[in-house]
This record gives sequence, C-alpha cells and structure tokens, in this order.
Amino acid sequence: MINIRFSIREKLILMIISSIIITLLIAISTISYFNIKNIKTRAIENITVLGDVIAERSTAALAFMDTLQAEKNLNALKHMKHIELACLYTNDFVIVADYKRPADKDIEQLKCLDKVENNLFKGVYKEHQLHWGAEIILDNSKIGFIYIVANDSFVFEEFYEGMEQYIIILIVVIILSYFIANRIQNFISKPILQLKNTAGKVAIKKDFTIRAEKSSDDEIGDLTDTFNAMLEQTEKYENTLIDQKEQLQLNQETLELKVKQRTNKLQILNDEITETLNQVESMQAQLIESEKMASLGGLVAGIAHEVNTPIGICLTASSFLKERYEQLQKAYKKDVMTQDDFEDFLTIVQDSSDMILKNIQRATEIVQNFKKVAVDQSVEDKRCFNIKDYFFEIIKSLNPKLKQHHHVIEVNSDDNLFINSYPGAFYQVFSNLIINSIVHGFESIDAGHISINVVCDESNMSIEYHDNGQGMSPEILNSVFEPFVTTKRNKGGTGLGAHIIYNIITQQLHGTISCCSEFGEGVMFKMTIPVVLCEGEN
Amino acid sequence: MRVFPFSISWLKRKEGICFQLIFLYFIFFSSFFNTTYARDITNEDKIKASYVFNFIRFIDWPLNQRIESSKPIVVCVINKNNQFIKAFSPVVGKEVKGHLLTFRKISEPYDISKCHLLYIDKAEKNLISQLLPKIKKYNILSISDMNAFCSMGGMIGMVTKKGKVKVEINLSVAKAAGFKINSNLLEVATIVSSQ
Repeated sequence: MINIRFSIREKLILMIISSIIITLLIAISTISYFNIKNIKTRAIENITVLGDVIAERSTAALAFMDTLQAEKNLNALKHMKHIELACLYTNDFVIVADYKRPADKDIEQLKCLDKVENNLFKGVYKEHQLHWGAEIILDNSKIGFIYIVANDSFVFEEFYEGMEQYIIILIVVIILSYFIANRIQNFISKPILQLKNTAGKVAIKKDFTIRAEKSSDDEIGDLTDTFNAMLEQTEKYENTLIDQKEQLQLNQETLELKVKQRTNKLQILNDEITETLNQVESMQAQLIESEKMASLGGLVAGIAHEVNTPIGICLTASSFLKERYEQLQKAYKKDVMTQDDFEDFLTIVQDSSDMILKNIQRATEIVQNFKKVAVDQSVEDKRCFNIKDYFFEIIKSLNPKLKQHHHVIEVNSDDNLFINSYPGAFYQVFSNLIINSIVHGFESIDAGHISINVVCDESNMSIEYHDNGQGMSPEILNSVFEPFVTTKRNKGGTGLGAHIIYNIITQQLHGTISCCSEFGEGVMFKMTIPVVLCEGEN
Repeated sequence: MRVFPFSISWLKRKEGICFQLIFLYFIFFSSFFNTTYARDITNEDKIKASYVFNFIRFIDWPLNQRIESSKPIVVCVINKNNQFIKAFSPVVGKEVKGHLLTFRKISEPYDISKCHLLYIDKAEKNLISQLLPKIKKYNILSISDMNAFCSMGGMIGMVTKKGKVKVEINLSVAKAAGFKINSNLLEVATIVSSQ
C-alpha cells in the first residue's frame, strides 16, 4: 500500500476542494435527477402535442378511410428521429395506417399494438421507450386511436447536453476553488507552519530559549502561548536537569572512588580471609591428623600397658631365675651344692620358664590383636571382616580406658555378618563414639551402658549407637557435627571427634548419620551405610 | 404500404383476410347503423351514407345560413327508389355539431328551401340543371355520387374508383356559397373546379 504523506497545507486545500466538489456533485446529481424527470415529463408533453396534431390531422383520413392520407400524415414523423413507431386505428382497433422507422437488422421491428389501453394515454416509459396513445375525437365522437412509440435516447441526449455544461462548471469551480483554497489555507496553515518551524529549531538546536511568534488570537494563538509556556517550563527543567546531572556526575565520581577504595580494601580482606581459611583448613587437617595420631598414640599406650604386665612378670621371673642360677653356680664352684639345691633350682627353672612362656604368649597375643587394629588405622584399604568381631576388637583396644570404670558395652549383631569395607574407618568412628561416651556422657557415671545394634539388609547396614549418659544440651546437639565444638576445651577436648565421625560416615563410607539426644536422657547416633556383603573365613 | 380494404384487387389477393376485414368494417359502421339492413342496401351505399354524415362534421355552414342550435340539420335526399334513405337510417336522430339529424325525401316539385344538405342520387343526373340554381339560391350543401358532379357545379362528389369511394370537392362553389371546409377534409379530397 502506497503511503502518501500530505502536508497540512495540502490537506486543507484537499478538504476545501473536496467539500466543494462533493457539494457540487450532490447538487448536480439532484439537478440531473430532476432534469431527467423534467425531460421525461416534457417528452410526454411533446409526444402528446405531436400525437394530438397527427390525430387531428388524421380525422378526415379516418373518417373517409383515406389510408394514403393517413400514412402521409404519419410519415411526417420521419423527421422526428426519436419516433420509432406510429399507428392509426379505427374505433375498433383496425389499423388504418402505420409508420415504422427503419431499424437495424439485428433489432426487432416494433409492431402496432392490438389494442390501445387507457394507461398509455398519459405516456408510459417501458424498456427505454416512451409509449403513448390517444383517442381521436371528431365532433365529440371517438373515431379512432393513435399509438406512438419514441425511444428515450432524446432524454439522455438532452441530459448529456446539460451534463457538458455541468462538467465545464465543475472544472471551472475546481480550478477556482483551488486558487481560493490556496489563499484561504494560509490563514490556518501559516501559523501552524511557523509553530512547526519553531518546534523544529528547538528540537535541532536543543535551545529552549527560542519562543514562537503569536500571529493570531484564535486556537492556534492559544497553542502558541501554551507551546511557549511549555518551552519556558522545559528550559527551567533543563537547567535544573543540567545542575542535577553535574551533581550526579560529581556524586558518581566520588562514589566510584569510594567503591574503588572499598574494593581494594575488600580485596585485601578477601585475600586475608582466603589465607586464613587456607590456614584454618591446613590446621584442621593437621588437627585431624593429630587426632588420628593421638588415637594411634592411645592405642600404642594401650598396647604398652597391656604388654607391660606379662613382660614385667617375665622380667621378674627371668631375674629370679638368674639370681637362683648365680646362687647355684656359686655353690657348684665351691662344691657345696647339694642335691636339694639342684632339685629346688630345677623346680624354680620349670616354674619360671612356665611363667615366662605363659606371659610371653600372653604378650604375643596382645601384640597380635593390637597389630590388626593398628594396621587398619594406618592402612586405608578395604577388606572383608566380621563386624561383630571387629566391634569386640575395638572394645578390647579401649580396655585401658574402660577398665578404670564399670561400663558395659553390648553389641547386638548377626555373628556371621561379614562386610567388605574400611575397618580403620569403623575403628575411628566407634572408638571416638565410645571415648566420647566415657569422657562426656559418663563423666559422672561409673557404670554406664552402651549398646550397639546392627541391622543389615543386602545393600545397607543400619547401626544404632546408644548410651544412657547425661546426653547433650540442644545447643550442642544442633552443632554436634561441626568442627571444634566441645564442652571440654580447657580439659583436653579438641572438638573434632564428632566432626571426624561425620566426615568418615558421609565421605569415606558414603552413608548418613544423625544424632538425637535430650539432656539427661543419653544420646543416640543412627548411621546408615551402604555395604557390600562378603564371605568371611569361618 | 397498407392498401385500403375496399380495393378490389387487394380483396382478390387476400380473400381470407378480406372476410375478416369486411366483418371488422361491419362492426365499425355498426355505430352508425344499428338497425337491420334491407337486402338492397349495398356496402357502397352504407359508405356513402357515412361519408355524408362525416361531411357535416367537417363543414361549417355560411354565417347567414347558420343553423340555430335548437333546430335540426335537415338532410334532403333525392332518391327515387328509397334505397339511400334506408342507408341513412342508422344515423337518423344522431347529433352532429349539437344538432339532430333529420332526413327528408324530396320529390317533385323539389322544394329544397328547408334543406341544409341535399343529396342527389346518381340516378337523378337529369335533375341537376334544374336543381343547381335552387341550391345556389338557398346556400345548400350539395352532395352527389354521380360522376363529374363537381364539374357540373355541385359542391361535393363521391366517385367510386377501383372499388374505392373518393371525395371530390368544388372548393370555389363551396367558398362562393360561404361554406367553410375543414382543411383535413380537403387533404383527403380531390379539388375539382366547375367546367
């Protein structure tokens, strides 16, 4: 679609001219309508006059049946080019004479009617033809009828003649109206164009000090005033805006500087925090390692303690045996040795060697047992083990601590439950839990009870650790697995035990752990660990 | 060109249509002749009778001979065998130009002083010389179907040519007598002058 853009000047001219043309066209159409109506009425009048003259002239021809004269009268119509057909009838509709305008071959020749009806007396327009009829009167008596058919081309010819004039008038009016409209539109368009030019200047130069010139006191004058008032306001706003912009620029710069300074500070702080965090992480790792070492130290101390007794007995027995041997050797060299002496010595040797052997075996057994646990702690390998037996070994390794009190540890598990997992991890977890129960839960309790319940299906093992100690306060419970949380900071607690448990369960064993406790009601840890069952050595 | 139905040649050519047309003409003239017809009245007589009736419509009597409105137009007929009188019977009592028509048969001594119109049958040709001076004297409209009636000084003659009744008018005689003949009638008539 063509988008034509008209200027206000063109629009005004178009409006004026189109209004004039439309009005003129309506006027011409109305005049033409009445003109055609008049032409038709006149045509009927003319044909009536013509018919009456022909009828009057044909009275004698009809009265004396002079066909020739009748036809002669009708033939006079050939000069009237609109007359197509004329017929003269007797009173009884016998055609006396007719006249037919020669027609083109392809046009059907008109024929006289069989009867002239009364309705034709006033003239009837039918299929672009005017049909007219009349009675022929002679001496107040009807002596016949006349019937004439005229084509209505004369209507349009006359109309077109009129139209030519109208078209000329229309053209002249359009030309005149264009010149008049061109002059008139200036009254409206000129102030608008001035206003437009001013607005354009303001827009291009961004100069709000420019004012439009008021040229009239009409609505456009009001518009100019309003526009000027708007410019004034805009100028004020612009000035304010410039001031604000400058202030904003200043503020922005200050802000940017501040932000930059803060960013630098933050960067330094961030670096410090990162460094501290790294240190903390490193310290945490060191602490965990220390804890592990402490645990191992505890284990070694336990071993030393356990081994100390049989070794001491062996030492005493062997010292006694040596002393008795030196006494016997002295007596033999002096040749004062008696048989009884020798027999006593043999008894002592037997008893001592039995004692030594017994205690060495005991020490070996202890070392063997502790060796297993110690190896598990130092070597992070998976192996197949019986969980119940392993719990007992853990408990055994903690005997030095347990012996000081009368705590009872109960393990409820399937005797033949073998799992392929990290035994060192289990040692770490449960030794910590038991030590925590002893140190914290049973602080003021001499005969505490700990129960470890193990339930296992094909893929998951659920372990419930429960003690009937003094439990935990809600504050401690909420942060029990967080590092460095302890109630015994000044008494040797590191606050890493539960955190290590949490890390081992979640990270190494890929399980979950939860803790619930109420103060005075003991504590319960519930662990669920995915496991692979295996065939153990029976 | 349409031929007048009374043309004999045309009648011969179009025998079928002829019968129809005669019938139509019978209806046409029935407005003038609504009584039964005598066997001896011919079509020609009827036409001539209707012509005489029509002449009155187209002709105005001289001012000095003006017929008073209350009085009838007296049509006098000189016809020995009464045949023509009978032919007039349909128009007897009819009004023409506001006057009733009355018919009067004239016989010897041929007093025509009360006549407005005198019809002389062609059989009475021998009476012409005797009647014409009287006609002139009384300003009577004279009509006859005899040949050369107008040439002899008569006013209107009806001549049968090719089976068609033609009208002849001696305009100078009529004018001299003060009769005004409608131009339409003159158009259909042949103007003849006295010999």
